[in-house]
Amino acid sequence: MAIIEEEPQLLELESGEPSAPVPRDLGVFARPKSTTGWRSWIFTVDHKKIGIMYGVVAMFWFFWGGVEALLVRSQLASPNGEILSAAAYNQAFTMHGTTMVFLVIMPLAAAFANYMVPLQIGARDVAFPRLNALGLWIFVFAGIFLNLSWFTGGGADCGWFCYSPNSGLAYSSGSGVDYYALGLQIAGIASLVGAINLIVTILNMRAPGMDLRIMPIFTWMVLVTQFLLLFAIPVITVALFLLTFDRSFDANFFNVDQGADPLLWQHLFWIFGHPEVYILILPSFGIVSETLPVFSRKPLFGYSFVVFSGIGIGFMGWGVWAHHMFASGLGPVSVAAFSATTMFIAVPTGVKILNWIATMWGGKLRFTVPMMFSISLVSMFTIGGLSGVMHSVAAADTQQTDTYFIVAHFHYVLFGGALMGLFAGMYYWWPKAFGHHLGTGLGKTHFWLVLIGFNMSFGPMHILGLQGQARRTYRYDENLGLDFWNMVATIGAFVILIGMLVFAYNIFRSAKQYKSGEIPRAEADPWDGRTLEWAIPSPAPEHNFDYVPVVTELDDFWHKKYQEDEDGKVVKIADGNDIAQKGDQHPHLPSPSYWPVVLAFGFPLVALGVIYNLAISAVGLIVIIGAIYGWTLEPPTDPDDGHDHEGHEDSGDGTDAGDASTDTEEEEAANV
Amino acid sequence: MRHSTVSTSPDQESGALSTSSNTRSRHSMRRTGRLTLLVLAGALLVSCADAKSDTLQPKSELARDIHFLTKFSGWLAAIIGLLVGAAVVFLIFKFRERKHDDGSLPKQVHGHTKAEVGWTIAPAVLLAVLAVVSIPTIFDLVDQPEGAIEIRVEGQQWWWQYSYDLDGDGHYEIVTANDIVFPAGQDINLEITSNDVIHSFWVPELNGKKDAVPGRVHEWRIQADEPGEYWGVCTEYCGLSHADMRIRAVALSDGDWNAWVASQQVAATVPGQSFLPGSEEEDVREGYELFQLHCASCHIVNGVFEAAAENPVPLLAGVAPNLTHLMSRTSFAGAIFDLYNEDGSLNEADLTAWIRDAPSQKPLDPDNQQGMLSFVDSLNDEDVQDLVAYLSTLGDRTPTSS
Amino acid sequence: MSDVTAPENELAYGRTEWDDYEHLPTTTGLTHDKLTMWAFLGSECLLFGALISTYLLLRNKPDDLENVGPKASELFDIPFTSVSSFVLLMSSLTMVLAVQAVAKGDNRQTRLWLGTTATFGCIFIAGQVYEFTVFYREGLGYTTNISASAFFTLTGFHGVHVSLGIVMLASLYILSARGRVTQKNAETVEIVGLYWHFVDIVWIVIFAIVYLIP
Repeated sequence: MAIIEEEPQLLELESGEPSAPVPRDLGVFARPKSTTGWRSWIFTVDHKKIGIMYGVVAMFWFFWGGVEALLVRSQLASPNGEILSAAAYNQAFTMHGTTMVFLVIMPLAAAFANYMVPLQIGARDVAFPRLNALGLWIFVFAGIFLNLSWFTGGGADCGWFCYSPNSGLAYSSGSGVDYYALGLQIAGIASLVGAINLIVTILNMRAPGMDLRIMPIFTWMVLVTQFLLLFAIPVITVALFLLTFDRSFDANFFNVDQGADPLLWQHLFWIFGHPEVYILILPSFGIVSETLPVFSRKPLFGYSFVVFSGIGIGFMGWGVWAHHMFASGLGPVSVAAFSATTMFIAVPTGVKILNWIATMWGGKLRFTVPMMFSISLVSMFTIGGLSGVMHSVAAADTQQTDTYFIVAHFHYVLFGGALMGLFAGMYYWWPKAFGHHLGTGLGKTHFWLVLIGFNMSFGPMHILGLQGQARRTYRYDENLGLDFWNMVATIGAFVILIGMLVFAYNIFRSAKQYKSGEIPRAEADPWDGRTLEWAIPSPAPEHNFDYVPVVTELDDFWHKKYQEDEDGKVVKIADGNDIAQKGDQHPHLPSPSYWPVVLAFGFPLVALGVIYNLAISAVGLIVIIGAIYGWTLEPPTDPDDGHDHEGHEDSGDGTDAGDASTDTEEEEAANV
Repeated sequence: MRHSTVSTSPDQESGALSTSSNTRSRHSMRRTGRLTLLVLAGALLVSCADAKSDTLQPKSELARDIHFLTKFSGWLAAIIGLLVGAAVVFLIFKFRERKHDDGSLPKQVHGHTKAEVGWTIAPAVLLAVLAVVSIPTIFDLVDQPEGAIEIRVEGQQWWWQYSYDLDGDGHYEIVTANDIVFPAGQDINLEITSNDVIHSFWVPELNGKKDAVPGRVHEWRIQADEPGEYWGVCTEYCGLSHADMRIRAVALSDGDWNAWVASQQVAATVPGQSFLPGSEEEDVREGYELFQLHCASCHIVNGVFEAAAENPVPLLAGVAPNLTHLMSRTSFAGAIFDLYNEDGSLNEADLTAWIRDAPSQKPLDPDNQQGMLSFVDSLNDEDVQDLVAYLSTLGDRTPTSS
Repeated sequence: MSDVTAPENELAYGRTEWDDYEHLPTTTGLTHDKLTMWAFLGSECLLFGALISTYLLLRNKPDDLENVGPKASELFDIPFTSVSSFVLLMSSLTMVLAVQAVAKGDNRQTRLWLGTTATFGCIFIAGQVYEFTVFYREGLGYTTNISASAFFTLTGFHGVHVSLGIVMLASLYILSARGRVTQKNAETVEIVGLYWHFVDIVWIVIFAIVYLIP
């Protein structure tokens, strides 16, 4: 009954809101003004700063998730390892998976989407800049909240998939699972807010002339990803609610004694979980679909096929979830059906790979660091995709599932695929974001160490899995003949570590050199790019575009630089750096705001209250409602700036109410 | 399959390796690459030699069927992977921008609809073949032949219990743990379920895995060509000691099987009370009394200690291993320890340590009713010796003709 | 491609300044706010889809155990719930009238229908609270058994949605009274209306599946 008791409270507080005196204009406080220093970051609503912060926070968690991975690998280096206790090992692999999926790859993709999508579509910002900041801060607090569990009795130890009934209170009595459930719930709100914002941005704010048939491919893949998020997040939201209600309010959803079916959790989790795989990989597909043409000096081969295969993956991704459950005891008919659908989802994926190869074919390949990462995505992801086809053979999968063969498979997909693409994106867009290139020599060292370490670490796991090494086991018997490849895998993991240290050093060194003037400021169009983000200076000015770009072609910027001459031969007619905008205009921008970060801070409070004491939840709710109140009274653009309202919300007084309604709905998913 | 998997990744690796190399280092690289491959292949052979639960060494009809599909799909994957890899390596060398490039654009190809349609249909056809070849096996695996021996498999934290209803009257004549014993050369029907969380039953050489889900009974089947011992492990994460929830499948010849069935149905007896002081019988008797005091509230010994069957056991799973024929098994403690040393003597070292302080030998959480208690404070060395003496009277070692 | 002329360098991209840009129509023609609501409602469909599926799976549990209280479905008072469902359904009608009124610029009518809609919503919520209280007295609390947890969670989620809708309607009412919801921003009312209709439709589905199908 606890939840139901909470409703009237929510109702009272909320309904009290509008009757309060309504001051106009600035809301309760004056707006943040800083343009430099940490305040200019915390309160910013600039999509570029938000994108960078997504990246920075994600890289921090990448480091932390990497530490967890190295602990796991060190433990498994030899049979009966004794570095970690079983309990610590279980927490390490659970938090490694959870961290890497929810706190690393998803936000890294969000970083690129936030930064690049408005630039690629020629917009000044996203549709709702403050909502964008809200998404970032909710994600930040979700990550902190999730990892708070380390200090309150240990992280979650139920695996990232947290199957019932092992995740129930009887079997996992520590608070780790509560932190897991509520932390992911909060992260889900962040993803949902971000997804809606980006969908509206992409659908509504494209530059004049840019219809969907000539939209940049990265933006396309982001759009598909956001739709997947939009529909997948609510499903895990429900699953996590059920788990939390069971654990915190004595509900009975997974009470086996009363006839509950533990497979309910698995279905809900994987209906979310499989689209999630595409949520993780599609942005990287988008990135390499941008970089391969640029560094091959050819257009993307079969643009429309790549787009449609992306959409196809997005649709088919909803019909394959039960292939995670081939051993769970579904009937043979459902197993056969899901086996077949799983096989056929390989078709659109294969189409993409062949299109990338065809893009490079006949080109003039420049082996820059982003190109090297992109090519490694094409080949490494192919391995992961093909081992995926092996799993789709359901009978054979009964030998593979929950072994290291699967671990190998999805690391080839998520590391060899998603992360390689994200690294490619970092090197490719670094000059646009930071105004200078990353060092090429160090970049190549980074690439080789990561590629070699990656294959050393995850290649042997194919063998280990087929030789019968089960996943999630903190030790294995010395009689199983698994020692050698485990040792190789562990060494590989440390090679990756060295590679990542090189990367960190590269970032640090090139930033220092740029500051001291040792390396020059990057040009607007350093790679001979094809899309609109290269038509503005590097780093991107705060207002993005001086003038609204008018688009007529796919790869429009490239067509401004190259045209056919009389003989039908394509020749260069202008240099990108000359025709790029100068970034010297000073249009009016949305104003920074305190409210997103304040509002976001309410969520971990509500969640902490669910674990410890509902009074804390009440405080959290008050924070959230107060922030909504302040938010709605504050115009998106500070009128003191002396300009009129921001473009999309120039409808006058009623905007506030409209905003209020939108925001209220956003968090009801979390509050009830 | 093993070879194809191995060769896929190094190939890709060396393919990608050559990406950056300038021509002069390419030769040395290729040599190192070949050397590495050789070392890897050698190491692989060595490392496989004594693998005890290898899916690549199927020991039953079912496992061979699956292995065929693994090989089939694996080769298919390997061939496609090699083609893609070769294409990538080729274009890396063929289409790299030359040093003195004139800066002109390569031919601008935007696409080719026929090619696109072709490479949409071709993989679809391949996959259709794969589907047709593989899907029938899904149905074979769950097929339960009539009249086959039926064994109930129950997972719990963190060991397996096996119950045999030999005459089909719904009453289990034999209840044992850790070792699943069955005759070689026959189909064995399994009814897999769980008493607490989800586990998964897997003996790689005999068949794929099947989850043990509380509240559900899953039908599955195993078989073994030859008598012998096959190893497995729980493969659905089931909490703290998931890694230490192992499986021994012991396939017996028909003769041994019949002997085993007969001996397992003999109930235990209470040790006699008349013995010479200091004799072995005295230890056994004292062990028996200690067992009654400390162990019988959880463990059943048929015919002697039945309390655990009547009163609820203080464990989340509600059951602890039945010890009636402990000595007939090859292992104890979730099959992580051998019960006998290689010379055939009882493995007293591990057994003693286990009885004294189980949570130090295997991760358990007795405070949360998950696993055996520590008896460090309640049993001294002599007590433990007495218990071992008593336990060693429970059942006889199973003879195996191999 | 061939008909593109060589650009003048500085103005290669765009001749439109931002101040003009701000008055450009959106690409789809829908406002950001409305598109946002549509996207959000799409997401909500999956939320309720998952909740309803969960309820359907668990409605008949526990199977045959005694002493765990009645099943939710055994306590349904169909006539009572039909009436409250009808009230909620009617509120969709009044919402339509409110949207029409504000489009016509009739602020008094707008407030009348907004107020009526909110009142109908309140009646529905009151009915739900009453229903929950009756169930609780009959021995069916949230933690009693599986079907109870599933029932209260599903209807509770819906109730919270209705409550938030009421808050929005009340806000609009007050803003309208202060003259801040007028014909000019009729769309805001329309967007809240979208949400309100969605919540109603979800209830029709829940009522049909949970209450009417045995």
